[in-house]
Amino acid sequence: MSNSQCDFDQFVEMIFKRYYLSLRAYSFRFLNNREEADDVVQEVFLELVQKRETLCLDERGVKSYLFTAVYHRSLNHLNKIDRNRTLSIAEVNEDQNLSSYLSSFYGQQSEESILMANELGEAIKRCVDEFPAQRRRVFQLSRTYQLKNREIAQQLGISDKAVEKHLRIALSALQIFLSREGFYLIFYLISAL
Amino acid sequence: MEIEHIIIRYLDGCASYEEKQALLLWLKESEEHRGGFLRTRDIWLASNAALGSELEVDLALERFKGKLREMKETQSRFSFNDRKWNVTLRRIAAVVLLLILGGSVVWLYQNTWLFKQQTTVLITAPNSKGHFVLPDGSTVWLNKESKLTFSQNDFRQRRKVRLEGEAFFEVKRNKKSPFVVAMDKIDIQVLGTTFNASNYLTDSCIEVTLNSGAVMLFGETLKKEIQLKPGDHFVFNKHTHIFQLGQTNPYYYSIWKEEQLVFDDHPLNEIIPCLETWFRVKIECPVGLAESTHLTFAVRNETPEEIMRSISYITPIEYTIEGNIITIKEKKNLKSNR
Repeated sequence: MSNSQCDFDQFVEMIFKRYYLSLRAYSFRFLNNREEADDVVQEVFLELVQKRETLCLDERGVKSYLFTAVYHRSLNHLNKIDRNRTLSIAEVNEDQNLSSYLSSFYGQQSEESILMANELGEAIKRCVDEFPAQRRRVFQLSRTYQLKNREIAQQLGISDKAVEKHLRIALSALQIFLSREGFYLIFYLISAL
Repeated sequence: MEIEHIIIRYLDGCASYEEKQALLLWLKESEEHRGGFLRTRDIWLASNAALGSELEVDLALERFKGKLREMKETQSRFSFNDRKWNVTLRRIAAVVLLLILGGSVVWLYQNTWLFKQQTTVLITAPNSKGHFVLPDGSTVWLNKESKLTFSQNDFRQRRKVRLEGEAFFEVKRNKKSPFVVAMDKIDIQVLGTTFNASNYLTDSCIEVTLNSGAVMLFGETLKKEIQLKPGDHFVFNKHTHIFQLGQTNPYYYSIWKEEQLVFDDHPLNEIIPCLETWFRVKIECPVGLAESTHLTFAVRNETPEEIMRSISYITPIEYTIEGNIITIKEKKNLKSNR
Protein backbone atom coordinates (compact mmCIF):
# COMPACT_ATOMS: atom_id res chain seq x y z
CA MET A 1 0.00 0.00 0.00
CA SER A 2 1.44 3.35 -0.98
CA ASN A 3 2.13 6.09 1.49
CA SER A 4 -0.49 8.47 0.21
CA GLN A 5 -3.09 5.67 0.29
CA CYS A 6 -2.22 5.18 3.97
CA ASP A 7 -2.48 8.87 4.71
CA PHE A 8 -5.77 9.08 2.90
CA ASP A 9 -7.24 6.13 4.83
CA GLN A 10 -6.16 7.73 8.08
CA PHE A 11 -7.65 11.03 7.03
CA VAL A 12 -11.00 9.41 6.16
CA GLU A 13 -11.01 7.53 9.45
CA MET A 14 -10.31 10.71 11.37
CA ILE A 15 -13.10 12.71 9.76
CA PHE A 16 -15.46 9.75 10.05
CA LYS A 17 -14.84 9.63 13.80
CA ARG A 18 -15.20 13.38 14.11
CA TYR A 19 -18.36 13.92 12.11
CA TYR A 20 -20.26 10.62 12.03
CA LEU A 21 -22.66 11.37 14.90
CA SER A 22 -23.39 14.92 13.74
CA LEU A 23 -23.93 13.79 10.17
CA ARG A 24 -26.22 10.99 11.23
CA ALA A 25 -28.22 13.37 13.42
CA TYR A 26 -28.39 15.78 10.48
CA SER A 27 -29.69 13.07 8.16
CA PHE A 28 -32.11 11.90 10.83
CA ARG A 29 -33.46 15.43 10.90
CA PHE A 30 -34.94 14.82 7.45
CA LEU A 31 -35.51 11.09 7.42
CA ASN A 32 -36.65 10.50 11.00
CA ASN A 33 -35.21 6.98 10.82
CA ARG A 34 -31.97 5.78 12.36
CA GLU A 35 -31.08 2.98 9.92
CA GLU A 36 -31.77 5.11 6.87
CA ALA A 37 -29.79 7.98 8.36
CA ASP A 38 -26.86 5.63 8.96
CA ASP A 39 -27.12 4.35 5.37
CA VAL A 40 -27.01 7.88 4.00
CA VAL A 41 -23.88 8.79 5.98
CA GLN A 42 -22.14 5.55 4.96
CA GLU A 43 -22.98 6.19 1.29
CA VAL A 44 -21.62 9.72 1.50
CA PHE A 45 -18.33 8.49 2.92
CA LEU A 46 -18.06 5.74 0.30
CA GLU A 47 -18.62 8.36 -2.36
CA LEU A 48 -15.93 10.51 -0.79
CA VAL A 49 -13.44 7.63 -1.12
CA GLN A 50 -14.46 6.99 -4.72
CA LYS A 51 -14.13 10.63 -5.63
CA ARG A 52 -10.77 11.09 -3.96
CA GLU A 53 -9.02 11.58 -7.29
CA THR A 54 -11.25 14.47 -8.30
CA LEU A 55 -11.86 16.05 -4.92
CA CYS A 56 -9.26 18.18 -3.31
CA LEU A 57 -10.40 19.09 0.16
CA ASP A 58 -8.79 20.45 3.26
CA GLU A 59 -10.26 19.76 6.67
CA ARG A 60 -12.61 22.70 6.68
CA GLY A 61 -13.75 22.08 3.13
CA VAL A 62 -14.49 18.48 3.85
CA LYS A 63 -16.94 19.39 6.59
CA SER A 64 -19.19 21.52 4.41
CA TYR A 65 -18.85 19.00 1.60
CA LEU A 66 -20.06 16.20 3.91
CA PHE A 67 -22.99 18.14 5.32
CA THR A 68 -24.11 19.27 1.88
CA ALA A 69 -23.79 15.74 0.50
CA VAL A 70 -25.78 14.31 3.42
CA TYR A 71 -28.43 16.97 2.90
CA HIS A 72 -28.93 16.17 -0.78
CA ARG A 73 -28.77 12.46 -0.33
CA SER A 74 -31.28 12.59 2.53
CA LEU A 75 -33.72 14.57 0.40
CA ASN A 76 -33.32 12.11 -2.46
CA HIS A 77 -34.03 9.34 -0.01
CA LEU A 78 -37.10 11.15 1.23
CA ASN A 79 -38.43 11.59 -2.30
CA LYS A 80 -37.84 7.93 -3.02
CA ILE A 81 -39.74 6.97 0.12
CA ASP A 82 -42.60 9.27 -0.85
CA ARG A 83 -42.81 7.72 -4.29
CA ASN A 84 -42.75 4.19 -2.91
CA ARG A 85 -45.37 4.88 -0.32
CA THR A 86 -48.66 3.43 -1.45
CA LEU A 87 -51.52 4.67 0.57
CA SER A 88 -54.40 2.35 1.05
CA ILE A 89 -57.54 3.75 2.58
CA ALA A 90 -57.13 1.72 5.72
CA GLU A 91 -53.67 3.12 6.29
CA VAL A 92 -54.70 6.72 6.18
CA ASN A 93 -55.13 7.72 9.76
CA GLU A 94 -53.99 10.59 11.93
CA ASP A 95 -50.89 8.68 12.83
CA GLN A 96 -49.66 8.59 9.28
CA ASN A 97 -50.92 12.09 8.67
CA LEU A 98 -48.60 13.35 11.34
CA SER A 99 -45.53 11.61 9.99
CA SER A 100 -46.17 12.60 6.38
CA TYR A 101 -46.98 16.16 7.46
CA LEU A 102 -43.73 16.30 9.40
CA SER A 103 -41.65 14.79 6.61
CA SER A 104 -43.19 17.30 4.21
CA PHE A 105 -41.70 20.17 6.13
CA TYR A 106 -38.52 18.40 7.20
CA GLY A 107 -37.77 18.31 3.49
CA GLN A 108 -38.48 21.99 2.98
CA GLN A 109 -36.01 23.12 5.56
CA SER A 110 -33.10 25.19 4.48
CA GLU A 111 -29.68 23.62 4.56
CA GLU A 112 -28.77 25.55 7.66
CA SER A 113 -28.92 23.61 10.86
CA ILE A 114 -27.65 24.03 14.36
CA LEU A 115 -26.06 20.60 13.87
CA MET A 116 -23.48 22.17 11.60
CA ALA A 117 -22.43 24.77 14.15
CA ASN A 118 -18.86 24.54 15.37
CA GLU A 119 -18.29 24.12 19.09
CA LEU A 120 -21.93 23.04 19.52
CA GLY A 121 -21.00 19.73 21.14
CA GLU A 122 -18.78 21.45 23.70
CA ALA A 123 -21.54 23.93 24.54
CA ILE A 124 -24.08 21.16 25.08
CA LYS A 125 -21.67 19.25 27.32
CA ARG A 126 -20.99 22.37 29.36
CA CYS A 127 -24.69 22.97 29.85
CA VAL A 128 -25.44 19.35 30.74
CA ASP A 129 -22.64 19.37 33.31
CA GLU A 130 -24.48 22.13 35.14
CA PHE A 131 -27.69 20.07 35.49
CA PRO A 132 -28.63 18.67 38.90
CA ALA A 133 -27.30 15.10 39.19
CA GLN A 134 -30.57 13.23 38.58
CA ARG A 135 -31.52 15.33 35.57
CA ARG A 136 -28.07 14.85 34.10
CA ARG A 137 -28.35 11.10 34.52
CA VAL A 138 -31.78 10.97 32.89
CA PHE A 139 -30.56 13.07 29.99
CA GLN A 140 -27.36 11.09 29.48
CA LEU A 141 -29.14 7.74 29.64
CA SER A 142 -31.58 9.03 27.07
CA ARG A 143 -29.02 10.55 24.67
CA THR A 144 -25.88 8.45 25.14
CA TYR A 145 -27.51 5.04 25.35
CA GLN A 146 -30.68 5.85 23.45
CA LEU A 147 -32.76 4.36 26.23
CA LYS A 148 -36.53 4.76 26.07
CA ASN A 149 -38.15 6.91 28.74
CA ARG A 150 -39.76 3.84 30.26
CA GLU A 151 -36.41 2.03 30.49
CA ILE A 152 -34.81 5.03 32.18
CA ALA A 153 -37.67 5.18 34.66
CA GLN A 154 -37.16 1.48 35.49
CA GLN A 155 -33.42 1.79 35.81
CA LEU A 156 -33.59 4.77 38.13
CA GLY A 157 -36.68 3.65 40.02
CA ILE A 158 -38.71 6.78 39.25
CA SER A 159 -41.98 7.28 37.39
CA ASP A 160 -42.32 7.74 33.61
CA LYS A 161 -43.80 11.15 34.29
CA ALA A 162 -40.75 12.20 36.29
CA VAL A 163 -38.46 11.16 33.42
CA GLU A 164 -40.53 13.16 30.94
CA LYS A 165 -40.41 16.16 33.22
CA HIS A 166 -36.62 15.96 33.55
CA LEU A 167 -36.24 15.76 29.79
CA ARG A 168 -38.60 18.66 29.17
CA ILE A 169 -36.74 20.90 31.62
CA ALA A 170 -33.39 19.73 30.24
CA LEU A 171 -34.38 20.62 26.69
CA SER A 172 -35.69 24.06 27.51
CA ALA A 173 -32.62 24.77 29.66
CA LEU A 174 -30.42 23.77 26.72
CA GLN A 175 -32.41 25.99 24.41
CA ILE A 176 -31.95 29.02 26.65
CA PHE A 177 -28.28 28.24 27.27
CA LEU A 178 -27.48 27.79 23.60
CA SER A 179 -29.15 30.98 22.46
CA ARG A 180 -27.24 32.87 25.16
CA GLU A 181 -24.04 31.29 23.88
CA GLY A 182 -24.70 32.74 20.44
CA PHE A 183 -26.32 29.86 18.64
CA TYR A 184 -29.55 31.86 18.32
CA LEU A 185 -28.86 32.98 14.77
CA ILE A 186 -29.32 29.48 13.51
CA PHE A 187 -32.52 29.10 15.49
CA TYR A 188 -33.75 32.20 13.78
CA LEU A 189 -32.91 30.80 10.37
CA ILE A 190 -34.75 27.59 11.12
CA SER A 191 -37.89 29.20 12.45
CA ALA A 192 -37.96 31.70 9.58
CA LEU A 193 -38.24 28.77 7.15
CA MET B 1 -51.85 17.68 28.59
CA GLU B 2 -49.40 20.39 27.69
CA ILE B 3 -47.79 20.32 24.30
CA GLU B 4 -44.16 20.24 25.52
CA HIS B 5 -44.94 17.00 27.24
CA ILE B 6 -46.44 15.56 24.10
CA ILE B 7 -43.37 16.60 22.11
CA ILE B 8 -41.12 14.79 24.60
CA ARG B 9 -43.28 11.68 24.30
CA TYR B 10 -43.31 11.97 20.51
CA LEU B 11 -39.49 12.22 20.38
CA ASP B 12 -39.26 9.14 22.57
CA GLY B 13 -41.67 7.28 20.28
CA CYS B 14 -44.19 6.56 23.03
CA ALA B 15 -46.84 9.15 22.16
CA SER B 16 -50.36 7.75 21.95
CA TYR B 17 -52.71 8.10 19.02
CA GLU B 18 -54.59 10.95 20.71
CA GLU B 19 -51.37 12.74 21.56
CA LYS B 20 -50.14 12.54 17.97
CA GLN B 21 -53.45 13.89 16.80
CA ALA B 22 -53.16 16.80 19.23
CA LEU B 23 -49.58 17.46 18.08
CA LEU B 24 -50.64 17.52 14.44
CA LEU B 25 -53.39 20.05 15.12
CA TRP B 26 -51.01 22.19 17.17
CA LEU B 27 -48.35 22.16 14.44
CA LYS B 28 -50.87 23.15 11.79
CA GLU B 29 -51.90 26.17 13.88
CA SER B 30 -48.93 28.40 13.21
CA GLU B 31 -45.47 28.89 11.78
CA GLU B 32 -44.28 29.70 15.28
CA HIS B 33 -45.40 26.30 16.56
CA ARG B 34 -43.62 24.50 13.75
CA GLY B 35 -40.45 26.50 14.40
CA GLY B 36 -40.63 25.74 18.10
CA PHE B 37 -41.07 22.04 17.41
CA LEU B 38 -38.11 21.94 15.04
CA ARG B 39 -35.94 23.83 17.51
CA THR B 40 -36.68 21.36 20.29
CA ARG B 41 -36.12 18.45 17.95
CA ASP B 42 -32.83 19.90 16.69
CA ILE B 43 -31.50 20.25 20.22
CA TRP B 44 -32.65 16.71 20.87
CA LEU B 45 -30.67 15.50 17.84
CA ALA B 46 -27.68 17.73 18.57
CA SER B 47 -27.43 16.23 22.06
CA ASN B 48 -27.36 12.77 20.49
CA ALA B 49 -24.32 13.82 18.54
CA ALA B 50 -22.71 15.63 21.47
CA LEU B 51 -23.22 12.92 24.08
CA GLY B 52 -23.28 9.84 21.84
CA SER B 53 -21.01 6.97 22.76
CA GLU B 54 -17.69 6.42 21.03
CA LEU B 55 -18.50 2.75 20.68
CA GLU B 56 -21.35 3.62 18.41
CA VAL B 57 -18.95 5.53 16.19
CA ASP B 58 -16.51 2.62 16.26
CA LEU B 59 -19.24 0.20 15.22
CA ALA B 60 -20.30 2.49 12.37
CA LEU B 61 -16.66 2.84 11.32
CA GLU B 62 -16.31 -0.95 11.21
CA ARG B 63 -19.41 -1.18 9.03
CA PHE B 64 -17.95 1.49 6.79
CA LYS B 65 -14.62 -0.31 6.50
CA GLY B 66 -16.49 -3.50 5.62
CA LYS B 67 -18.37 -1.73 2.85
CA LEU B 68 -15.14 -0.18 1.65
CA ARG B 69 -13.52 -3.60 1.42
CA GLU B 70 -16.54 -4.94 -0.48
CA MET B 71 -16.29 -2.03 -2.87
CA LYS B 72 -12.61 -2.57 -3.45
CA GLU B 73 -13.21 -6.28 -3.92
CA THR B 74 -15.71 -5.81 -6.69
CA GLN B 75 -13.24 -3.46 -8.32
CA SER B 76 -10.43 -5.99 -8.25
CA ARG B 77 -12.06 -9.35 -8.00
CA PHE B 78 -9.76 -12.29 -7.31
CA SER B 79 -7.05 -10.07 -5.97
CA PHE B 80 -5.19 -12.48 -3.73
CA ASN B 81 -3.81 -9.71 -1.59
CA ASP B 82 -7.27 -8.98 -0.39
CA ARG B 83 -7.80 -9.81 3.23
CA LYS B 84 -11.36 -11.03 2.97
CA TRP B 85 -10.54 -13.33 0.05
CA ASN B 86 -7.62 -14.69 2.03
CA VAL B 87 -9.88 -15.45 4.95
CA THR B 88 -12.35 -17.18 2.64
CA LEU B 89 -9.55 -19.25 1.11
CA ARG B 90 -8.29 -20.22 4.52
CA ARG B 91 -11.79 -21.21 5.57
CA ILE B 92 -12.21 -23.38 2.51
CA ALA B 93 -8.81 -24.94 3.17
CA ALA B 94 -9.77 -25.68 6.76
CA VAL B 95 -13.02 -27.35 5.70
CA VAL B 96 -11.27 -29.40 3.02
CA LEU B 97 -8.63 -30.43 5.54
CA LEU B 98 -11.24 -31.52 8.03
CA LEU B 99 -13.18 -33.42 5.39
CA ILE B 100 -10.04 -35.21 4.26
CA LEU B 101 -9.08 -36.04 7.83
CA GLY B 102 -12.58 -37.11 8.77
CA GLY B 103 -12.72 -39.23 5.64
CA SER B 104 -9.35 -40.75 6.28
CA VAL B 105 -10.37 -41.90 9.74
CA VAL B 106 -13.32 -43.80 8.31
CA TRP B 107 -11.27 -45.13 5.43
CA LEU B 108 -8.39 -46.23 7.63
CA TYR B 109 -10.76 -47.87 10.04
CA GLN B 110 -12.17 -49.97 7.21
CA ASN B 111 -8.69 -50.78 5.90
CA THR B 112 -6.71 -51.44 9.04
CA TRP B 113 -5.30 -54.71 7.65
CA LEU B 114 -3.51 -52.70 5.04
CA PHE B 115 -2.18 -49.86 7.14
CA LYS B 116 -1.53 -51.35 10.51
CA GLN B 117 1.31 -49.00 11.25
CA GLN B 118 -0.48 -45.96 9.98
CA THR B 119 -0.68 -43.01 12.35
CA THR B 120 -3.83 -40.95 12.22
CA VAL B 121 -3.75 -37.27 13.10
CA LEU B 122 -6.86 -35.21 13.65
CA ILE B 123 -6.23 -31.48 13.49
CA THR B 124 -8.50 -28.48 13.87
CA ALA B 125 -7.72 -25.07 12.43
CA PRO B 126 -7.45 -21.93 14.64
CA ASN B 127 -11.06 -21.04 14.02
CA SER B 128 -12.83 -24.34 13.76
CA LYS B 129 -13.88 -27.07 16.09
CA GLY B 130 -14.29 -30.71 15.13
CA HIS B 131 -16.28 -33.75 16.16
CA PHE B 132 -14.94 -37.24 15.38
CA VAL B 133 -15.78 -40.86 16.09
CA LEU B 134 -12.79 -43.05 16.94
CA PRO B 135 -12.43 -46.69 15.72
CA ASP B 136 -13.74 -48.05 19.05
CA GLY B 137 -16.92 -45.96 18.85
CA SER B 138 -15.77 -43.33 21.35
CA THR B 139 -16.54 -39.76 20.41
CA VAL B 140 -14.15 -36.87 20.65
CA TRP B 141 -14.78 -33.15 20.22
CA LEU B 142 -11.65 -31.18 19.36
CA ASN B 143 -11.48 -27.51 20.29
CA LYS B 144 -9.78 -25.02 17.97
CA GLU B 145 -6.08 -25.45 17.19
CA SER B 146 -5.95 -28.93 18.65
CA LYS B 147 -4.38 -32.17 17.57
CA LEU B 148 -5.22 -35.77 18.41
CA THR B 149 -2.78 -38.50 17.31
CA PHE B 150 -3.11 -42.27 17.48
CA SER B 151 -1.64 -45.30 15.79
CA GLN B 152 -4.08 -47.67 14.13
CA ASN B 153 -2.07 -50.69 15.23
CA ASP B 154 -1.74 -49.75 18.88
CA PHE B 155 -5.29 -48.55 19.14
CA ARG B 156 -6.66 -52.05 18.61
CA GLN B 157 -4.64 -53.50 21.48
CA ARG B 158 -4.53 -50.53 23.76
CA ARG B 159 -6.73 -47.53 23.21
CA LYS B 160 -4.14 -44.78 23.43
CA VAL B 161 -4.32 -41.29 21.94
CA ARG B 162 -2.05 -38.28 22.26
CA LEU B 163 -3.58 -34.85 22.84
CA GLU B 164 -2.24 -31.40 22.15
CA GLY B 165 -4.85 -28.71 22.68
CA GLU B 166 -8.26 -29.31 24.15
CA ALA B 167 -10.71 -32.15 23.72
CA PHE B 168 -13.87 -33.51 25.24
CA PHE B 169 -14.09 -37.30 25.30
CA GLU B 170 -17.08 -39.57 25.48
CA VAL B 171 -15.37 -42.92 25.91
CA LYS B 172 -17.14 -46.20 25.07
CA ARG B 173 -16.95 -48.54 28.03
CA ASN B 174 -14.62 -51.53 27.51
CA LYS B 175 -13.41 -53.28 30.67
CA LYS B 176 -10.72 -55.24 28.82
CA SER B 177 -9.08 -52.26 27.20
CA PRO B 178 -8.55 -49.02 29.10
CA PHE B 179 -8.58 -45.79 27.16
CA VAL B 180 -5.49 -43.62 27.64
CA VAL B 181 -5.05 -39.95 26.81
CA ALA B 182 -1.37 -39.01 26.80
CA MET B 183 -0.49 -35.36 27.40
CA ASP B 184 2.73 -33.60 28.33
CA LYS B 185 3.81 -35.24 31.60
CA ILE B 186 0.35 -36.56 32.51
CA ASP B 187 -1.59 -39.58 31.26
CA ILE B 188 -5.29 -40.05 31.80
CA GLN B 189 -6.57 -43.59 32.01
CA VAL B 190 -10.27 -44.33 31.85
CA LEU B 191 -12.71 -47.17 31.34
CA GLY B 192 -15.84 -45.41 30.19
CA THR B 193 -16.53 -41.80 31.04
CA THR B 194 -17.04 -38.29 29.78
CA PHE B 195 -14.39 -35.72 30.56
CA ASN B 196 -12.67 -32.61 29.26
CA ALA B 197 -8.89 -32.40 28.90
CA SER B 198 -6.85 -29.36 27.99
CA ASN B 199 -3.16 -29.49 27.08
CA TYR B 200 -2.30 -26.48 24.93
CA LEU B 201 1.41 -26.05 24.28
CA THR B 202 1.02 -22.33 24.87
CA ASP B 203 -0.67 -22.81 28.26
CA SER B 204 1.40 -23.42 31.36
CA CYS B 205 -1.20 -25.79 32.82
CA ILE B 206 -2.82 -29.07 31.95
CA GLU B 207 -6.45 -29.24 33.02
CA VAL B 208 -8.78 -32.21 33.38
CA THR B 209 -12.44 -31.94 34.34
CA LEU B 210 -14.59 -35.00 34.90
CA ASN B 211 -18.26 -34.96 33.93
CA SER B 212 -19.22 -38.59 34.65
CA GLY B 213 -17.62 -41.94 35.54
CA ALA B 214 -14.07 -42.09 36.89
CA VAL B 215 -10.58 -41.41 35.56
CA MET B 216 -7.07 -42.10 36.86
CA LEU B 217 -4.19 -39.71 36.32
CA PHE B 218 -0.61 -40.97 36.01
CA GLY B 219 2.65 -39.19 35.52
CA GLU B 220 6.31 -39.37 36.48
CA THR B 221 5.99 -36.03 38.19
CA LEU B 222 3.05 -37.17 40.31
CA LYS B 223 4.02 -39.05 43.48
CA LYS B 224 1.11 -41.42 43.07
CA GLU B 225 -1.87 -41.78 40.79
CA ILE B 226 -4.85 -39.52 41.35
CA GLN B 227 -8.43 -40.60 40.93
CA LEU B 228 -10.99 -38.02 39.88
CA LYS B 229 -14.67 -38.08 40.80
CA PRO B 230 -17.40 -36.37 38.75
CA GLY B 231 -17.19 -32.61 39.23
CA ASP B 232 -13.47 -32.71 40.04
CA HIS B 233 -11.26 -30.15 38.34
CA PHE B 234 -7.55 -30.96 38.17
CA VAL B 235 -4.97 -28.32 37.24
CA PHE B 236 -1.32 -29.27 36.80
CA ASN B 237 1.43 -26.73 36.23
CA LYS B 238 3.85 -28.11 33.65
CA HIS B 239 6.78 -26.07 34.94
CA THR B 240 6.46 -26.24 38.72
CA HIS B 241 4.80 -29.70 38.72
CA ILE B 242 2.40 -28.45 41.36
CA PHE B 243 -1.20 -29.55 41.01
CA GLN B 244 -4.49 -28.40 42.45
CA LEU B 245 -7.66 -30.40 42.80
CA GLY B 246 -11.00 -28.72 43.32
CA GLN B 247 -14.72 -29.12 42.75
CA THR B 248 -16.43 -27.29 39.93
CA ASN B 249 -19.42 -27.35 37.64
CA PRO B 250 -17.92 -29.43 34.79
CA TYR B 251 -20.53 -28.05 32.39
CA TYR B 252 -18.59 -24.78 32.12
CA TYR B 253 -15.39 -26.50 31.02
CA SER B 254 -16.85 -28.39 28.08
CA ILE B 255 -19.25 -25.70 26.91
CA TRP B 256 -16.97 -24.86 23.95
CA LYS B 257 -18.18 -27.96 22.13
CA GLU B 258 -21.74 -26.65 21.77
CA GLU B 259 -22.93 -25.08 18.52
CA GLN B 260 -24.01 -21.92 20.30
CA LEU B 261 -24.24 -20.38 23.73
CA VAL B 262 -27.62 -19.10 24.85
CA PHE B 263 -28.19 -16.98 27.93
CA ASP B 264 -31.68 -16.10 29.04
CA ASP B 265 -31.62 -13.57 31.85
CA HIS B 266 -28.53 -15.24 33.35
CA PRO B 267 -26.40 -13.43 35.93
CA LEU B 268 -23.05 -12.27 34.58
CA ASN B 269 -21.15 -14.40 37.15
CA GLU B 270 -22.58 -17.53 35.47
CA ILE B 271 -22.01 -16.17 31.98
CA ILE B 272 -18.33 -15.33 32.53
CA PRO B 273 -17.02 -18.91 32.99
CA CYS B 274 -18.94 -19.95 29.85
CA LEU B 275 -17.42 -17.15 27.80
CA GLU B 276 -13.96 -17.92 29.22
CA THR B 277 -14.15 -21.48 27.98
CA TRP B 278 -15.85 -20.54 24.73
CA PHE B 279 -13.23 -17.97 23.70
CA ARG B 280 -10.28 -19.37 25.69
CA VAL B 281 -9.83 -16.05 27.48
CA LYS B 282 -9.65 -14.84 31.06
CA ILE B 283 -12.39 -12.42 32.15
CA GLU B 284 -12.00 -10.23 35.19
CA CYS B 285 -15.04 -8.52 36.69
CA PRO B 286 -15.90 -7.08 40.12
CA VAL B 287 -18.01 -9.61 42.08
CA GLY B 288 -20.81 -7.17 42.88
CA LEU B 289 -21.22 -6.16 39.26
CA ALA B 290 -21.14 -9.80 38.10
CA GLU B 291 -23.86 -10.76 40.55
CA SER B 292 -26.18 -7.85 39.91
CA THR B 293 -26.04 -7.85 36.09
CA HIS B 294 -28.48 -10.13 34.26
CA LEU B 295 -28.22 -10.58 30.50
CA THR B 296 -30.01 -12.24 27.62
CA PHE B 297 -28.05 -12.99 24.45
CA ALA B 298 -26.63 -15.74 22.25
CA VAL B 299 -23.15 -16.42 20.88
CA ARG B 300 -22.46 -18.24 17.64
CA ASN B 301 -19.48 -17.23 15.52
CA GLU B 302 -18.84 -13.82 17.00
CA THR B 303 -15.41 -12.75 18.16
CA PRO B 304 -14.82 -11.82 21.83
CA GLU B 305 -14.57 -8.19 20.72
CA GLU B 306 -17.98 -8.28 19.05
CA ILE B 307 -19.62 -9.94 22.03
CA MET B 308 -18.13 -7.51 24.55
CA ARG B 309 -19.24 -4.61 22.40
CA SER B 310 -22.82 -5.89 22.26
CA ILE B 311 -22.85 -6.48 26.02
CA SER B 312 -21.64 -2.93 26.63
CA TYR B 313 -24.61 -1.78 24.58
CA ILE B 314 -27.27 -3.52 26.60
CA THR B 315 -25.80 -2.85 30.01
CA PRO B 316 -23.71 0.03 31.39
CA ILE B 317 -20.28 -1.59 31.52
CA GLU B 318 -16.98 -0.81 29.88
CA TYR B 319 -14.22 -3.26 29.04
CA THR B 320 -10.64 -3.55 27.88
CA ILE B 321 -9.14 -6.43 25.94
CA GLU B 322 -5.43 -7.07 26.31
CA GLY B 323 -4.19 -10.27 24.74
CA ASN B 324 -6.47 -12.94 26.14
CA ILE B 325 -7.46 -11.01 29.25
CA ILE B 326 -10.73 -9.10 29.25
CA THR B 327 -11.40 -6.69 32.09
CA ILE B 328 -14.97 -5.56 32.77
CA LYS B 329 -15.78 -2.48 34.81
CA GLU B 330 -18.84 -0.45 35.62
CA LYS B 331 -19.30 2.42 33.19
CA LYS B 332 -17.44 5.42 34.61
CA ASN B 333 -19.48 8.41 33.54
CA LEU B 334 -22.58 6.80 35.04
CA LYS B 335 -20.85 6.10 38.31
CA SER B 336 -19.69 9.64 38.78
CA ASN B 337 -23.27 10.87 38.70
CA ARG B 338 -24.44 8.82 41.61
